Order: sequence, then structure tokens, then C-alpha cells
Amino acid sequence: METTASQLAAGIASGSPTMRKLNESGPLYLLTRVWQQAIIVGLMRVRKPSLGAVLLGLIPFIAMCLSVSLWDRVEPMILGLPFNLFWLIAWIVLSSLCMWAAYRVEAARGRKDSGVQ
Amino acid sequence: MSPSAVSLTTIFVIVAIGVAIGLLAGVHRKMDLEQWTVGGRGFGAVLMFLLMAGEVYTTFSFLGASGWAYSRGGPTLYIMAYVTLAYVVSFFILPQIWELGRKYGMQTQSDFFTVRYDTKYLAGFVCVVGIASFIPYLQLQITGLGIIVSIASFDGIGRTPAMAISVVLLVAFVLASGVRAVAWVSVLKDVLMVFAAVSIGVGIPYIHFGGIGPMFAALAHSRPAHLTMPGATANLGHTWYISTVLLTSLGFYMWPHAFGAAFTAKSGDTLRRNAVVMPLYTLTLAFVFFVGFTAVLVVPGLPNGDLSLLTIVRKSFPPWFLGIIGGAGALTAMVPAAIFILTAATLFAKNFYRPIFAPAMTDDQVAKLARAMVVVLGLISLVLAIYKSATLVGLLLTGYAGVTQFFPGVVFGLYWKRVTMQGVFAGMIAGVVTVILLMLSHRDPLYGWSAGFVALCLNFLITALVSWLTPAIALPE
Repeated sequence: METTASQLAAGIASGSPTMRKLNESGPLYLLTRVWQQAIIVGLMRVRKPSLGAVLLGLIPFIAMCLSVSLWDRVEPMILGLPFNLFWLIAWIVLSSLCMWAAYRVEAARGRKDSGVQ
Repeated sequence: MSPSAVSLTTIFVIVAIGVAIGLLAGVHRKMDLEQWTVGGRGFGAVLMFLLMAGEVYTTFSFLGASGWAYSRGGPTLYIMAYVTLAYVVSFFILPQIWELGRKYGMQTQSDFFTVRYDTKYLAGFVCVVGIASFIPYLQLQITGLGIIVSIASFDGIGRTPAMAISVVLLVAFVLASGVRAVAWVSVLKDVLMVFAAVSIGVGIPYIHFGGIGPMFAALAHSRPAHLTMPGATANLGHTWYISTVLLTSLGFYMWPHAFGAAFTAKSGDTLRRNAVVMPLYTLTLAFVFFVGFTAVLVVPGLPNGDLSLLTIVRKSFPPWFLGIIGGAGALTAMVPAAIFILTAATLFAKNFYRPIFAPAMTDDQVAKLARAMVVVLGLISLVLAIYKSATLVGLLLTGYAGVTQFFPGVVFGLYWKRVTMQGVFAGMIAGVVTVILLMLSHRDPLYGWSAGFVALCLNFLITALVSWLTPAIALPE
């Protein structure tokens, strides 16, 4: 079923001769259109990221972007760097850590899903 | 040998090695359309990493980032934030895009739009906007190559002939090989880039001030305002920073080549792991900023900030070293330029021209048309680079304002069942028209907000509104 559906969708995408022939005949055309829409809505479903992962992803956005007016200054200089530059460098490393945690959250969820099946 | 001969020869040798690696990689492979563009679906983690890294470290981050550190000051920091946050965004969209790509055999961004929204016209529109956004990005690389050659020749070779030579070389390279070649060249390029960035980032502040700390202390003493926003500008303050970082981090993977690269990954998990590791790559950008900030004090008064990195390298090191830095810079321009030109040409032939104007074209004819487009796009960018000047960062931001308009269509397409083709089409048109109007009337930034971001907000709003007003599944009448 899934292979047929993918092939059909791929056929539609590339405008294959079979599809063009189907397009010309009325009732069959309607039927394939309905089916094709059902495939698109049904199979197009992807696994949504978990809330935990999304929240972990928001942390770098708050720290490196939205809070800019709190850390955009020269003093205090840390390790010889202006404070804003130091802050961003530190958060590159911390962002990577946040995403590592998000990866663990998603990986644990993936294992649980396959375990249930 | 004269200094210019030494530095130019070094650059030439490095570029020749790069091209040779690329051509050898392409020799033993049959080149059909899929092979030429996607390189087969079997890139492993290492090659994938290099391919993605190759696209990130462009002339923009090398000459452009230091150029803005020199001419604008604080606002240049947006670059460190946006690249990192772009990877955070990628964690939440690329694995899902990859999943759909495998299921439907998608190769390009417009395949995604064709399959998801079931109309070739939306996909065609996406292609046109994508190609139009690529042109300033390509122009950026060519301008950068021109700067490298003219500075390395100690101003013996003018910018215009230098750019013309670069375009010829680039087009020949792309036509002779494909994406796998580019991936192999980026191995050499990445090693050289990291070496180049670290050595000059540490070396130049040390030579002139005795270290990075003393350099910043001197700059903070003489020009403290240069180090924070808005720096040396009047209107690039915190509002601009937030709106630009959001615009560019959301738009990063909307570039057709970056979006398409996701399809070449081995698994969705590879893409998630990339999102964890890639931000660390951004750290090398700091070294480039050190050079730009040092140049503020050491070589003041340059007409164009983008010249600052190479000018200070030339002032601080022997010619052969300038040659190595220039060679790394040249590869750094050529690798992404090859990817951009390849993606844009394929988009035009396969996803725009064939579906809309000539459905009967064979794959062979499409491949021929794509090759012709490589030449055409190379020439257009060359002409623009010669006659229209802008800073490297300015060029990239123009492109971003365009491609980020795809974001609502992609993210809603993945996660919102209720979104409709009409909604996405209306939103995208509104976004693109807004960008064009604001840019042409020189209203970027608009009251401190990045013009592309204003357009993106409007785009989101209209996409949601029209989707609600149109039926969920559009059945034919």
C-alpha cells in the first residue's frame, strides 16, 4: 500500500504518462484526486518533536537572541574578550549541550516507540 | 620572485590541487541526472558533515564577517548567533523533511512543495524566488574571489579581470563534475580554513598588540562604542539584531541547496546528530572577528571593510603566507559557489522549466539545459559583481530576505494539517512583494526592524488567515 502510494505521489510530482492519461478520463480522475489527497494528508504525517526537546531548543534562542539588551556591553571583560563576544562564545558551547540533551530526549522516545511495536 | 608572484603562485597551486581532487572524484562515476545532483543517496556521516560545513564557511564568514567587524563593529556579532541558532532550528525540521524525502523520492526543495501542496505553480514560484535569491549569494562569492586575487597580486591584477577568471574556472569545474566532487574539495578547504582562521586570529592580534586580550583592551579604550551595537552604524541596534537573527536562523535551511542537502543524509538521526555538533564549528568564526577588530586600529580608513582581513594579513606576514590564506579563501569561495550554481541551474531546468513549459522533455535534455544555465548564471553574477557593489554581508542579507519567505510553507507543511496551498501561496507572494518593495525603496531596516523579518511576519499571518478561509482538502470541481 505504501509503496503504491509513494509511487503514485512520485508519478504526480513528475507528471508521468500514466498520470496524464488518468487525468484525461473524468470519473477516474476525480477518484484519483480524492485518493491522492488522502495520501498526502495521511502519509505526510511526520513524527513531531517532543515538548521537552522544543523547550530545550528555545533556551539558545532566549540566551543568544531575545536577551541581547541584557548582555550587549563591553565590561566586564572576561578572558580578555568584551562581554558580548564572550557571552556568545560561551553560548555556542552551551547550545550544543542543549541540543545534545534534546537529542537524548528524542532518542529515548524513539527507542520506546520501537519497543511498543 | 616578486612578492606578488609568490603569493599568486601559492594561491594557484592550492586551487589547482582542489580542482584536481574534485575532478578525480568525478572520474569513475556514471553521471545521470540523479548522480549529478544528489550524488546517490549514500553520503555517510563524515562526508555529510564536510558537505554541510563546506556550505557554511563561505567567503561571507571569512571576508564578510571580518569586514563588518571592521566597518560596522558590534552588529557583526549577529553572525555568531544566527549560525548557531540555525542548527537548533535544523534539529526540528530536517529529520522530518528527510523522512518525507525518502518516502516520496524527493530530491529538491520544490519536490517538497509539489508533493505537499499538490501544485506545480507554487513549486515553480519557489524555484524562481530561490534562483533570484541565489544571485546575490553567488555575486558575493565572485566579489570575494576578486578581492583575494587583487590583494594577493599587490593590486597588480584588477578586480574585474580577477572576477572574470574566477567565473570561467568555476563554470568549468562545475560542468566537469558534480556534487560529490564538491564534497571532496571541501575536505581540503575545511582543513585549510581552520588552519587559516586560527593562525591569523591568534597571530595578528599577537603581532600588533601582544595578544587578543590587549588588542580588545586597546580597542575598548580608544573606541568602546565600536564593540557594542549599533557600533559604527546609526540603525543597526538591538531591534535590528533580534529581527535579523530570527530571519536568518529560520532561513538558513530554506536555501534550496541546504534544504536539498538534507535529502542526501543517511538517516534522520544523522541530521539530529549534526545539529548537536555543528554549532561548535561556529567557534572558528571568533578568530575571524579578532582579525577584523584588530584591523580597526592597525589599518584604519580602508574604503571597503571587506578588504580589511587580507590587507592586514599582507601587512603582517610574508607573501607565501598571504598566498596560503588567499588560497584557503579562494577555495572557500569556489566550493559554495559551485554548490549554488549547480543547485540554481538544476532548479531552473528540472523544477521550473520542465514542469511548467515542457513536460515532454527527457532527462537528458533537462541535464543539457541545466548545464547551459550554469553558464548563464555565472555570467549574470559576474556582471552584477562588476557593476553593482555592496558589502558581502549586505548581499547575503538580501538573499536571506528572499529565501526565508519559504519558511511558513515548510514548517506549516510539516506540522499543521489545516494549512492549504492557497494560504501558502498567498503568504509567500505577500512576503516576497513586501521584501522587494522595502528593498527597492531603501527601507531596510524599517524603523529598526530587518525588512525581511517584517515580510516574514506578514507572510505567516496571511498564510494562516487564508488557510483558515479556504477548504482543508481542495477537491476538483
